[in-house]
Amino acid sequence: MSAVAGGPTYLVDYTALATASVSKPLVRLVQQTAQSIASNTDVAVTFGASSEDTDTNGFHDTGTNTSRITPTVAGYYRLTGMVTYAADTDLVDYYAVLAKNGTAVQRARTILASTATTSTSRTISVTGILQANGSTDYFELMARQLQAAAASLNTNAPGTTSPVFEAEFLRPL
Amino acid sequence: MAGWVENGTDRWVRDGDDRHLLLGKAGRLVELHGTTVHIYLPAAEVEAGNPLAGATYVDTWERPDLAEAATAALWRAMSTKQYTAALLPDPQP
Repeated sequence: MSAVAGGPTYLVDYTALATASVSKPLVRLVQQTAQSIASNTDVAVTFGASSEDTDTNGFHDTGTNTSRITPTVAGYYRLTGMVTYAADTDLVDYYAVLAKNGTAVQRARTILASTATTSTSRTISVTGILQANGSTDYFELMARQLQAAAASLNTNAPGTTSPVFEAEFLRPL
Repeated sequence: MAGWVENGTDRWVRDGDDRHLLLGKAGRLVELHGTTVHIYLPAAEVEAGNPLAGATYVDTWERPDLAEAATAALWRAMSTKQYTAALLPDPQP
C-alpha cells in the first residue's frame, strides 16, 4: 500500500519511508592486498578477501569481478575513491578515476613538475554522482600511473592509506 | 631516481629488484612485477634506459605460482608463448 494525497497513511508507508531515508544502501571497500598497476593505462582497482568494510545490500563480491560495485537498487549514488601509490621516487603522473560499465567517466589527475628526490607514497581522490539502473550498471575505481622511467607500480596496501572505494545511495531515479 | 638496468639482450631489472623484471621477446614487452605479469607492445623505438616509454598496454595475468620461484625460473616463465604470442591478435597488414 502506498499513501495517496488525501488518503490514509498506513504503517507500511512509514516503514518504507524509514527504509528509504535511514537504511540507504552503503558500500565501503578497503583494499587488503597490494596490486600492481601497469604503466600508463587505466587499471580497475580490485577489492578481494576481507575488503568489505560495509556492504549493506550485497552490491560487491570479494570473489568475482572484485573491482565492481553493482547496485541492485536503482538510483543516484555518491561515489568516492582514493588511490594511494606505493613509495616511489619516479612518479610523474597519476590518477584516480571513476568508471561506469568499464568506461572512465571522471578523472582526478596530478602531474608532478619533476621527479621526487625522496621516496614517498602519494594519494589522490575522486568523487562524483552517478546513476545506476539497479540491475546491469556497475561502478569501478581505476588507477593510472606513469613514472619517468616507465614501469608498473604497486598500490599502497594494506594499511590506513590503502585504496578505498565507497558508494552511498542518494535518491531514487 | 628509479630505473631499469640492462641485464643481457632484451632483459632489464628494475632497481636491483630480482622480482621486477622486463623481457623483450617476439615484439612484446613482458613485465613481471612480484606475481603479476603485464604485457605491452613496445614503442617503435625502444630506449635502452626506458624500455616501456611509449609502450601500449595489452593485458595482465596473475601468477601466484611464481611467488617462490627462483630468478632463472621467472625469466623462463616470462618467455612462454602464453605471453609472447597467444594473447595478441595477428599484426595488422
